[in-house]
Amino acid sequence: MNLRVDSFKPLGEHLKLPAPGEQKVSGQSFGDVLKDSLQEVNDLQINADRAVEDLASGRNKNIHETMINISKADLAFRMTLQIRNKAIEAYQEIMRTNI
Amino acid sequence: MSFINNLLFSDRAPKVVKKSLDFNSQKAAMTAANIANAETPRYKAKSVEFESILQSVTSTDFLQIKATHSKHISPQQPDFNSMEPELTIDFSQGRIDGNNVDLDKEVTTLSETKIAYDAAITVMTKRGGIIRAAVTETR
Repeated sequence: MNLRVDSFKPLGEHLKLPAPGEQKVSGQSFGDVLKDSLQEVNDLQINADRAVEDLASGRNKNIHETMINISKADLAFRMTLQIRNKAIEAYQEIMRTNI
Repeated sequence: MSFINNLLFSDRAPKVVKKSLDFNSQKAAMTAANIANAETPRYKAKSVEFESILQSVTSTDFLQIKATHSKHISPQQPDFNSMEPELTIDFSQGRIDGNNVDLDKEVTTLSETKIAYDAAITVMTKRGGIIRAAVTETR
């Protein structure tokens, strides 16, 4: 049996691990995620407003759909608010830290 | 007070809801008048129609263009203050004494109007709650 040393490849090649130093983070960045989420929240507000208009003008007769849309917008907005509060809290915590 | 007004009524949706509340209360008053005059000889039933007006206003998305000069022409915004519901008088003969109020129809209209009014109030309160959350910012 003829075993050659170079037939043993580094483990990294089998696992398709990136070589150290050139690790690249794939996917969306935090900024993108934040931007998309905010966009989604804004879209929910717009949808809610549209549903409200449709109900008020009698174009859409079912009340529950409008209420669901408003609840979605309300919840999304409150959640955004809380996330912002947490972020500010974390920032202030860091600012208060004595070095 | 105009600041608070801007806060609550800067978008089109609350204006539409407000107008719908105005119209619904007028409709309720009109229906109540019809019921009150159900036995008045020669009284003609009156009805209020406003949904087509509100639908025509909300059918398009109006552009919000910033005017940086007093002579800039902005796209025609719907004038909510001058909107009036369509009043129709039914001139049919009806009963022998000339009264044409259909009591069943009027009662149905009244409860329909009440449901629409209550829904609009609830929707307005809910929407105001979002703005209230932004203002109070509870932790």
